[in-house]
Amino acid sequence: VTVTVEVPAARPTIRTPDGDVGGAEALAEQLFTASSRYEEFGDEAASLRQLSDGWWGDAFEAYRRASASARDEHDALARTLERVARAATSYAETLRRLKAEADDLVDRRTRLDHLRQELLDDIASAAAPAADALAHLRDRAASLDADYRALVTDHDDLQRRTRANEDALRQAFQAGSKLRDALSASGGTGDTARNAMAEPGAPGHGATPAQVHAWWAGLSDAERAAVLASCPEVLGAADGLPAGVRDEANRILLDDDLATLGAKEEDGTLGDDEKKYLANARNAQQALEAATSYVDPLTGAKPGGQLWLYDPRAFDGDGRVAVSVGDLDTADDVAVFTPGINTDMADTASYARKMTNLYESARYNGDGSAVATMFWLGYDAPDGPTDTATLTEGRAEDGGRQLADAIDGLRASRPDDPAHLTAIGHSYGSTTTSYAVKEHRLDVDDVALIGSPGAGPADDAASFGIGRDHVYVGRDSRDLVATLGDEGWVGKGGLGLGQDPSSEDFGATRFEAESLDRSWHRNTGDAHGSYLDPDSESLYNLGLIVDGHGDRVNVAAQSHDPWYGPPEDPEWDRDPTRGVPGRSDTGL
Amino acid sequence: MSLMYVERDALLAASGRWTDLETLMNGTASLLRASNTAGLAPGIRAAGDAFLQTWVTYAAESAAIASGFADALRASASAYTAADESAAVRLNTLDGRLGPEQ
Repeated sequence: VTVTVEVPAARPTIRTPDGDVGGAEALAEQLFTASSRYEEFGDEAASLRQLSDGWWGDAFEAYRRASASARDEHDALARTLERVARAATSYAETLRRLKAEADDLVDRRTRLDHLRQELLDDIASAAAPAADALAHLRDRAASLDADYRALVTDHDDLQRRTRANEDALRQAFQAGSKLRDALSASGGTGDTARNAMAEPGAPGHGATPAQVHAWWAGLSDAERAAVLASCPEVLGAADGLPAGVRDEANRILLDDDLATLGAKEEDGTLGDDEKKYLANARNAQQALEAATSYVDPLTGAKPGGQLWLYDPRAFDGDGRVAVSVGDLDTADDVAVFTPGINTDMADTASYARKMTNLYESARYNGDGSAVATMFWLGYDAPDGPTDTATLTEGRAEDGGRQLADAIDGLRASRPDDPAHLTAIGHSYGSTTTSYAVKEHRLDVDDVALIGSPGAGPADDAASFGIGRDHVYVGRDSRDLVATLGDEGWVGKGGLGLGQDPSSEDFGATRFEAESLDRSWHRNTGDAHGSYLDPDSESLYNLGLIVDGHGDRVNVAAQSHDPWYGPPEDPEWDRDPTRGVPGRSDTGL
Repeated sequence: MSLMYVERDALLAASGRWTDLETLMNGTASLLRASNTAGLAPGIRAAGDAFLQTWVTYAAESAAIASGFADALRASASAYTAADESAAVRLNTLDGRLGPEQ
């Protein structure tokens, strides 16, 4: 009797995408440099129009008209060249990812081929297999066939996206070549991108985050590659898009700034404002490096970093930026950290490192869930104690609106897989966070306010609308800023920015947050700035909250204000800990 | 024209700056000429090469434009100077006094 086991054919032949990432990046950088030269031409032509101190008359007017044309045309050419350079950057970044995916497919093919050979060997050695052994062989063959089919599907998908990536750059080249196109406001933007950006739900025209999400989901691979290459400035800030897409777009913008402003720096034509933009860009780059090089202590893997928001020119050069440690698209637990006064884009790298501390604490003492922690500077934080904006809640109110939009964007980006989301606000950022939660019904699961000068519009934790037991407060007893908020029936005459959230009156869960290095007196230095220090009580408890286990924080007694005297902080006399398991041990 | 005023040095200084722009754009043309598309997939190299070639000509044209401005300003400065000198010669010949020419 002959029995048959159909062994699937080994397939497919994996085709690694053509092209060299380094070579493509080099071309992009040269195009950025050329773009910056055109920009310099436009700037200088504009400056050279201003000869009126030394020249009047008809000839001068004729010269002014001609130089205005030169300025306008070279500005337009600079923008077109910049768009094409961005498309080349997008091509290089995507090519890098596609090649890595191809390598993975090759590995999968090798593993399947190995299993196939084992199956062939077992069939050859089984001269007259029993019925159950035969069934087992056939099961293995069927399973192998399914795996090969899946590999073919993934390989086809890779090839499709490879073609889309190449088409996007080809279109950019073609749309930026003819003089009429190169001088137009959309030079370098191909038809595919233009048409996709005109579809309903496209970002930049008032679409809601949910509409933007649906728009992206409905785009073809070719359209996605085209809009990413052509409109990164729109996609990078589009609420509702997957974080991975925003990250890709913002990295293109970052590469653009590093190359074009760097070229102007080399030419000695960098203006004062541009110097600040370049410093901001370099800081964002350092932050990304800190995030992407970080290694998860539990897995030894790198969770990666994402540039979720990037605009080094915003707020008169203070900049807008958000950097995450971990994948915002897939993490089970996501934390959004809002900083306080005196924070601008120059602090991004420092805060990215603090986000690695928070990530590590959440993972180290957590339940094994995937985590992402994001530093979010999407509002114009006051410049410092001497900035009059510090004394009022205006920036916090505006920032609360921005934060609510950001959270809406995050939520809309993964509607079918919502993360456990925690908003953490530090210092003035805690007031900003309070505005977002109270006034805009911030869609978060937990809120943590640390070093807070006051909870802005909220007098009571319950008014946040997420449940009193989901509102947490950390205050070092020596933190002077965190004692400014009102408490008791007398209050503090508007010294702070609303109710002290660590007080009995507010009714939140206060967690231990004393620093071992605390001073004997209250101050605005270390006591206010050490809430995210490794092996601190504060970081330990914040990690638990981020991981979704706020019910396990080490609770501290709330501050209270007896009628017969000044407010009393029960934590003042408690001995702090550092690195103690179950209290302040936050990582390896 | 009811008003006219010119500082010759201002024109010459501006001409010098336009010359600098000519140099800048000649350098840009060289940069683009030296760029290559070898890092791209074969299927898009032709489009990339055509793009670079076109932009080399644009950069060269920009250099020529800058050169044109520099030349025009220099020529204007010379023309103003010449006109002034010519006028001065003629005006120097004027005799505004009564009586026989001296």
